Amino acid sequence: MVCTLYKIFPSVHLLPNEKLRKLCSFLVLSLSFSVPAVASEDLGRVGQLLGGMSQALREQSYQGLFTYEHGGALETLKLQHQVSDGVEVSSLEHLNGPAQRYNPTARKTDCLSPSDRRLRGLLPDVTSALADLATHYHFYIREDQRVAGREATVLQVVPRDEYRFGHTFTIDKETSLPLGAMIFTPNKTVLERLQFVDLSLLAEAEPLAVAPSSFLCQSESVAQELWQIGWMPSGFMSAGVNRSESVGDMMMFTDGLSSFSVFIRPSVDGVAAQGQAQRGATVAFMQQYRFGQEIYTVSVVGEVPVRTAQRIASSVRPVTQG
Amino acid sequence: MLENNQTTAIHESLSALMDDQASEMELLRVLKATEQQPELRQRWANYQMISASMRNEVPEAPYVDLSSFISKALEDESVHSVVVVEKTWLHRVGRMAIAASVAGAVVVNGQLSGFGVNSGEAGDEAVLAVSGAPSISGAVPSNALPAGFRAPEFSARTVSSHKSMPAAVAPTLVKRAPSVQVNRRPSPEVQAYLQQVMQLHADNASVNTGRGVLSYARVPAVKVQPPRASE
Repeated sequence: MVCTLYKIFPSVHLLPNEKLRKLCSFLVLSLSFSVPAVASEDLGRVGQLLGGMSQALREQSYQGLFTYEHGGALETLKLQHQVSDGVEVSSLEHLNGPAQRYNPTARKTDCLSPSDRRLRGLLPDVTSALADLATHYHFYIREDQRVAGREATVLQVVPRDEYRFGHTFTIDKETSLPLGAMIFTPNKTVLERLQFVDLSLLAEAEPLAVAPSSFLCQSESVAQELWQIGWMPSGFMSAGVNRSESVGDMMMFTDGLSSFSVFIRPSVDGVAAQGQAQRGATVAFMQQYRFGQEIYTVSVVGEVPVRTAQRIASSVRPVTQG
Repeated sequence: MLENNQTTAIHESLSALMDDQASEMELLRVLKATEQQPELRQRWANYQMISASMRNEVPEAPYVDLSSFISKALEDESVHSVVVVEKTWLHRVGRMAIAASVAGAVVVNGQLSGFGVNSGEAGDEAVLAVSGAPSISGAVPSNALPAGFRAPEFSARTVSSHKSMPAAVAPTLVKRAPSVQVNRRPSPEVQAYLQQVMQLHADNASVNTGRGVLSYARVPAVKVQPPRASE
């Protein structure tokens, strides 16, 4: 595993054990042709790639099959995304394992999330596009790849700190859609990989099968903030809050490429566990905390390292009233 | 005198454990000793608190002693290998080699014999490793995860064992009260809650990570079931 990663990231030398590192280098040299890393801090091009991808994903009509690999498991899924009259509807179907279909509500394509705005360089308080992201990530444009029969540009996004994961996007040159997406830890361990095996554009969008709901653009709710998160990695911003009977208060955050959600509710018998769970790059960290007289279950779920999730969870405090 | 030597040895093992340098044998020895020696138990707890405070991670929650659960979990853990080698880099490689690539498998081919006793899913991973295909692995070594790491088998470890336990022997899951018992996976209630929060988080991720609807691939395609009787 470690050595495999070495092949993927030949330019990075972060393994703690020097001897192991040498061994790996030796193995890599003898077993694989190492690809020279094309370092690129050409933020203009990176901005175009990320912004184009964010836009293409939402504004084009396409369908395809993709695989989702995580921890040795491989799943296949079918995706359909249609845009008609500025409203997007997508569906996702698991092709192996238990039959499950995901049907989201329709959304207006001009309803932009904080992440969309950041990736497209539209945040008002940021002087140059991506300058903000670039303070937290290094960007590298790697050698082109061919995925799902299409030529693609490979963009590698390496975190500058250990609080977030890295990403590799394989972006179709023709459509700007991501043909592949990989998430890796700060020590370059790959956690999950999404990759299309087949992708086609839908030329003329058929009439939408789903009647657009009134939920076309979820406005950021301005519910009263009851909780404050004392610590989170820099660069993360609020992406809304939510409240539901079953999971309690939910607060969402994103840095543009990764997101995490914090769930807080009074502790309930049976769910008063502590621990962590992980599936692919998604980490769930659950812990019980006492605030005043009551014990609360705080869960942090997100594409962030466990230690980050743990630190976020332990920094949650109730906002003092009055 | 003999007793003194033993105490010294166990203390050495304990500090090796704290430095992530202990072998499986040492870990087992320490755990066993803590059963009889409350003093050792307290010492271990103190070490943990010290190292946690050095990392600025002193837990907010009341301190819960999990060592007895952990040793119980270790008993349940299947044995992957009994290769005892010196504490050299080779040893470390051996621990990581479960999902290593071709040559990694050659270096520690002693480990491969262990795969025979594993379940099918773990075997798949071994095949992957031997064929040299890029292996996609979890953050923790694969043998610390439930077989196959498939939904909704969430792998969870205790907070206090985090980072200080050698990864190769990290228990799959240690669950705290209400029912004080070791469980390989969370209770159905916890699973249901996790499933729910992961689903809701996927809503967040789908609009906030530049991946769109692809993020929903992460939500397990499984209705949460009570744990299977076989496990």
